[in-house]
Amino acid sequence: MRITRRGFIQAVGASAGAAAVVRGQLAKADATAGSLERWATPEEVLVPSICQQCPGGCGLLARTLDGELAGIAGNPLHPINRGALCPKAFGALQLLYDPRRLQGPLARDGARGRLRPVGWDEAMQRVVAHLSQLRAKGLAHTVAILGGQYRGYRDTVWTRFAEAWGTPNYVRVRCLAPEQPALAHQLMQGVTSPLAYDLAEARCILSFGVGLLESWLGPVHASRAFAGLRTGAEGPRGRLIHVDPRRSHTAIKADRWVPIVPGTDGILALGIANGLIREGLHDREFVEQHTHGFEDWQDASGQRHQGFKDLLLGEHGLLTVSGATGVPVKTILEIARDLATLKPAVVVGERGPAYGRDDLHTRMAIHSLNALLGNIGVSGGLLAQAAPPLAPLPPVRQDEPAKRGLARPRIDGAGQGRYRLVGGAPQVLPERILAGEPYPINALFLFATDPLANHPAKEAFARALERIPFIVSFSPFLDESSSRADVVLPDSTYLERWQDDQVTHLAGFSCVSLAGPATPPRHDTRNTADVVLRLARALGGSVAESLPWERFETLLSAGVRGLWESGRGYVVSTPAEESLRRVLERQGYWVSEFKSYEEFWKALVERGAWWDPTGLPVGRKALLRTASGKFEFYSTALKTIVDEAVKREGADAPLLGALGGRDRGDRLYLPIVPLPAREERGNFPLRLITYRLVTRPVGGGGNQPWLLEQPAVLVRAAWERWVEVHRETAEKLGIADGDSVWVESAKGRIGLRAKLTAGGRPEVVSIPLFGGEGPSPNDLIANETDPVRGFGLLNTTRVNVTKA
Amino acid sequence: MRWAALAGVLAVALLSWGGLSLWAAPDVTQPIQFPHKTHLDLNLECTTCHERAERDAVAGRPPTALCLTCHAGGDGTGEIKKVQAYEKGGEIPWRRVWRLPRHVFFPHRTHVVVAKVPCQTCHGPMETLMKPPARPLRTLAMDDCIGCHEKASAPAEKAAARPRSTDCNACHR
Repeated sequence: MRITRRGFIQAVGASAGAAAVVRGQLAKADATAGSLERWATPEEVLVPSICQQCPGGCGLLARTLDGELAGIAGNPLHPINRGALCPKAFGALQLLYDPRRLQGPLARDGARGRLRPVGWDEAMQRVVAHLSQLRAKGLAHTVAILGGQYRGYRDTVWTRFAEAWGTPNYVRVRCLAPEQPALAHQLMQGVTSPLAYDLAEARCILSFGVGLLESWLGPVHASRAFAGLRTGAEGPRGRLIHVDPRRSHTAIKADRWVPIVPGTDGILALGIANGLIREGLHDREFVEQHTHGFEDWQDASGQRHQGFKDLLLGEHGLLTVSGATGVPVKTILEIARDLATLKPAVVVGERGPAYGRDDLHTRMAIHSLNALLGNIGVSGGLLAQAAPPLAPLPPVRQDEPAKRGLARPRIDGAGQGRYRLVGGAPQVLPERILAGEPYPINALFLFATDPLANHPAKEAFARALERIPFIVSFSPFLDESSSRADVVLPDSTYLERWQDDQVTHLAGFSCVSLAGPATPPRHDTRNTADVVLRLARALGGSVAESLPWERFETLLSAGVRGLWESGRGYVVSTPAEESLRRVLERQGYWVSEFKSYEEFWKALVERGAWWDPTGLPVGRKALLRTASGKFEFYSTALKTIVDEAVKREGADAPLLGALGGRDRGDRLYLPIVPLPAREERGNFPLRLITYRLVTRPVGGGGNQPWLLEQPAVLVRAAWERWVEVHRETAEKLGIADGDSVWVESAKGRIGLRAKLTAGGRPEVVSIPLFGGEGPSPNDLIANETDPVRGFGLLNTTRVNVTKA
Repeated sequence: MRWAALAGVLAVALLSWGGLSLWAAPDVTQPIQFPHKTHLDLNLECTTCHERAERDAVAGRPPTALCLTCHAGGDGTGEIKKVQAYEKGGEIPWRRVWRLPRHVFFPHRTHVVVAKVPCQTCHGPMETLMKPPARPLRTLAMDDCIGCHEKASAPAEKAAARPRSTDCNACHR
């Protein structure tokens, strides 16, 4: 073989090349194997978080893999849910990874031009410039803030901002405020904190349309209490009696389901009260010693007043009650006997939708049963927990423009006139804004609410938004309302931000949950609380001084320090440790687990919640804070409010009209519900009832497909939208299961699939609140406002159903 | 002698009549003319008022308080006013109409709740009465009881929650 010089060089080059290739491949393969191993074993971290899909306040464990959120589970240490979750919690993943989330702030080109992406600085500058102009013109009060369902320090931030800025128009849109006492409880007991129904310890629960196992204040906690009621090892098995026109999930799980004519719950409560009193089953000792207005009485001026007992017994005989409610006399008597014999018994009459036009007196009548049973301040009855000892924040500083602005009346009329008893009346906003009453609104902040999707008067609301020159939305999505905004400052979802939750409405403990971000924000979004703090700093002056915290977690830390300093309660831990501490505390020992606040804070973030299980519930005396110091069947607080209104506005005071007029005499201040007049059915012979499915979160969850595909509990349906029609009614109308039908009211009509149901009242049709795009029951419901709650009368609309 | 025989016959006849009168239950007059028909037409069940029939052996008569749960207010008729007059005057002195022989044990609860026997089976068509019955609408004989209890041998009845016994001691004390 002849070796040439060229051949030698070629051979060396080829060998070197081949060696390089082989070495490179090997190195690459080595690297790939490493990353493969790394990919197969990502770092798993479980981060405590708080579910915000409903007001339940359940604790979560967010499963993260290399910082990416990969799963949701219940936090086994959390006292509210102890590791259990309802289906809604799992929708959080799809909320987080929704491809339609906004990538960053948006701002409009010119007046109502196209929305385009902008940087945070530019977006904030726009907001600050607009707000500063309004304040300079003395129009601070024309800024309105519309907030949805949330509580804790996010509410604190907005409240302080509104107070320091100088607007009375911080309006909340929600049908139930769990952190506030129900109006009936305020008027009859004078309480200022929410009462807790001790469901877990009760042996008999009477629920008036409250979806305990569906969508009431946290279905997980209520379900755990229900499980205890049914299978409790101690004592006899308890009973759940559920009054509801609809055959709901709670109804089929109840020991007794009582179908009722919609809107007559209060009359039934009075019938039960009649049975209790007549048969001598009420708690005589409590009624004689701790109540006012039960018997006829005489006031200081010598005027005689009719007592609750005589009015009730004379006007609400059981045949009359049975005729109005459709509940047999025997059933009414049996419920009364159950309540009196299965002690402790508790009567729950607090739910989101109104009971009807006499909502306040209905709730008072229902609550009066608790007094007749003597279960106020008793284990298994109605309790109130001491508020968590969070550190008080420095007072809000108000400059002159702020004081002037806050002195103006609210745009929704809450706290005056017809709406004297309500804290907010979002239902009336469209008409008020359109009429410019009492003054035009120049800027609107939308936070955690989408009125154009969920308000019964959404068309009017859309026109109202057109009248407002500057709208800022904090929605993470470009929803119906945000698409009308001038600036969108997208909020991070709750798994991406610091959050807290303060739960005071549950019996047995008060609880503060705290969570850091489970995962970094996926997009250029920011925690709205941080944005408001930054906005306050940019606005300067007393607004900045009232919100001095650099970041939201700084505010959280300042507030939570109070828990550490209070010398009571515990950061949640394992049940064994908790039992030990409970035993020790009952013997008078409380030992701190931590040496410093930093240790306490670290543990709180790592475990997810602080609670005070051994903290003494507020006693009976503290639960009766009325003028008489007793439970008031005759509400002197309501009398005072009405008298003031009459003195100020004359005998035609709108509040008096809203409550039924002066003609009602003492009945106005007593839990006496007038018997309903015969209703003209006209072209709409059926009554529409709306309800929330256990699988639908606040806002509807239209963007969470896992929840949409959950099958309904009582009808065979998933994904689609349906109306539930009684079989008898369907047969008369010629409608079969699955038929397409039109549901029509005086307001409009929507097309849905008919699902036939058995049981319940034939004249009732039910549609779940679906949320999102598509036919909605809100398209049928007239925008009527309940004058004592400020929210819509959702279950009073009459409809007709025809085959499509 | 003839007169003595006649007096003897008369005495026997009088004794027989008196004995029979004593043996047969006298007519019962109730303090209130209670119309069962009116109440049952309102879809009230018998056990709404005779509630002890579902709990106890004896059905009993309803206490005044139970009547007043419906009849306390309004402008009542004369009979309702009579009921209302008892509000502070104690119990209405209802008089018992149905009586079983002392040696028979008849538990209402077993028959009404467990066996679901309609009240009319023993008590007759009470739902037709606008006045309280002066005497039982049906007079029960032992054959009536046995006739029902013997149905237990029928195949369809064998699966009943509680077998019906024809043992003497089941009813006789």
